[in-house]
Amino acid sequence: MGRGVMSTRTALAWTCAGLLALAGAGAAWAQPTQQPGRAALAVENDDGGYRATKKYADVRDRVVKARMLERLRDFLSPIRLPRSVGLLAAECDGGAGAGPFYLTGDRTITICYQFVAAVEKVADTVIAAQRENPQFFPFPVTRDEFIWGLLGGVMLHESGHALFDVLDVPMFGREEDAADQFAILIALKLRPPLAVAAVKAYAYFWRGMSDPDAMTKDGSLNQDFADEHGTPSQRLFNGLCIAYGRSPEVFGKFVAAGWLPQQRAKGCAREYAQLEQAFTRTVLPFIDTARMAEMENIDWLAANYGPAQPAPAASTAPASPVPASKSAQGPGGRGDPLSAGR
Amino acid sequence: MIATFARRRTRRRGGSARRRAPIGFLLGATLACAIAPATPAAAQAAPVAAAQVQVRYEPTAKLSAVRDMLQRHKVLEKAQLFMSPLRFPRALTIRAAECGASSVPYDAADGIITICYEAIADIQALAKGSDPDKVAAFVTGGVVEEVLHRMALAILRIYDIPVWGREEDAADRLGAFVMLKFDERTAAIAITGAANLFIAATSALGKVDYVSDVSPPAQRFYNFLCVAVGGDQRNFGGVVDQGFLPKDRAVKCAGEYNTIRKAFDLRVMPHVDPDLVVRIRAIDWLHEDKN
Repeated sequence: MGRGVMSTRTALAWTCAGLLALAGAGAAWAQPTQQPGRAALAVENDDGGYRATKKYADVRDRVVKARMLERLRDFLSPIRLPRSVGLLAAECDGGAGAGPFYLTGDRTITICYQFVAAVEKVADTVIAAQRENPQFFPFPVTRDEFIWGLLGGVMLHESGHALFDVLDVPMFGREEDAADQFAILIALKLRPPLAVAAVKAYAYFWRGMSDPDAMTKDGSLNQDFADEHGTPSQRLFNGLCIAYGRSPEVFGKFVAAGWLPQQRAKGCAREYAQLEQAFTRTVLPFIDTARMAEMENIDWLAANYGPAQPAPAASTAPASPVPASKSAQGPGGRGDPLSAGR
Repeated sequence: MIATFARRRTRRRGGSARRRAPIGFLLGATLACAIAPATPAAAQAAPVAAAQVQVRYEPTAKLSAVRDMLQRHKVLEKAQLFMSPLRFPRALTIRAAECGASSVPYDAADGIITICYEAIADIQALAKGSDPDKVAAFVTGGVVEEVLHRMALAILRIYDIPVWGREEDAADRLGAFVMLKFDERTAAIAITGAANLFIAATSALGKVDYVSDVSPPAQRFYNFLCVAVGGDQRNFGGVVDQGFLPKDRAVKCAGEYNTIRKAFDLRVMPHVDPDLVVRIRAIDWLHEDKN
């Protein structure tokens, strides 16, 4: 997952789309949202962007039914792109560890079937851990929430790379961190249940990954730190910090449970404000804000995904996310169940 | 010169083995040439007034040796001179002070950039473990990194620059980018010093702080090298050939450098007087304090 070059490291985050509906998804098919005279994200070719595969045929069937690419295309349709960007789902080079990527020259986002398969396996681990030790998790999560929250976030991460490229966004920090920021920031603009689903999928995913040691046994620097991505813990803390900085009343649960340490949490309001300002200054001018408001209020988790329509309660939706559930509490001082077997 | 970083002209047989960075590796032969006689250019480049930026060394009892060293080398005056091409919307002060910590944030209300004596003392302490002949270069490079980092953080705020990614990384990348604008000898000292500082800090810390909004020194090490390789393949390509910067990162460094350059051109250059930049670049920074 990365820009230009495929990375074997698993991707990131979560949200937007609850491209749920693995099973259902039948009827109404989203109409192309591209408007005359402007470029857009577009699924490609007569296979609808879903490349053929033998090894991952079952995965392909699921993402086709879920209309994964079409949801992403529609979700990002309020953005006025100066150049079009392609969307693909495919079996990628690199074997089972291949992650999604954005290719700068082709301006194409590719979601790898094997990554979807890997996320499904991680989901099983998370659900098993939650069953064993539910109090460890600040918010309860369902399997579908985890899978599609995470895949949605990954697609937004890659979309971030694409936007940074085609919008010529000035990039002073590390672009991989910025793509994580973009994904989380957009997720936080969704309806509250979706925002929470996105953040928890992101957090549970990265909490289960281990960090590298600083030095090797022979006293050398560990070259894992040369990766342009942050380490799992860094990505976890970065993401939670943005969420907490925007909505401490909701995501304070992660602080209370020790998932986001106080030493970092105290600066998160400022980190969020800086990110929001960067978005406002460099991306928002390309967005049709009226259409974006519609997108923010759509139930992207709906099983049957059709053409984008405003949700009935759009005008009364709260500005900040609220918890999907109030039942979960902190970890209770036990070990980290997510680490087991991953 | 720049022996350590310079791309080797002769390929080793069997390709380039993956090599890791032991503590102090970069101190090698790199900077033996660093403290060379002052060049005529140093005397010819007339210092440029920087009326908008004031400097002061604040008193300290505990760290007076650090204060003396900074004053002797005119570190703040050089920072003042270096910033002179920038047009600021307000008056600024660069102060060196005892902070009770290794850093304090830019004071936006009063326009104060602070260099903490404690940070400089830390650099000196980390340098002590290196080859005695190379300590001066280590400290010089480390101090340049610290000063540029603090200046970069302030500049991002002063010009209200939108920052994607982590702000501290942005300051590092901006600092490394600016280092490459020095003459190659000075750039080598600065990049090498920063790299050595991060290696030594990684070893000294022992464990990694993943929580902080400041990246661990191991990451900062590779980020600095990547900007250097991306911006000056000729002088810094050696770190790839010798295996210090992994190739799968190195292939992206030209792109990373280009990204920073574009961001700098778009968001910083509008505040820069290009004629003054020319005069600043003509200065021999390593010997400015001797003139």
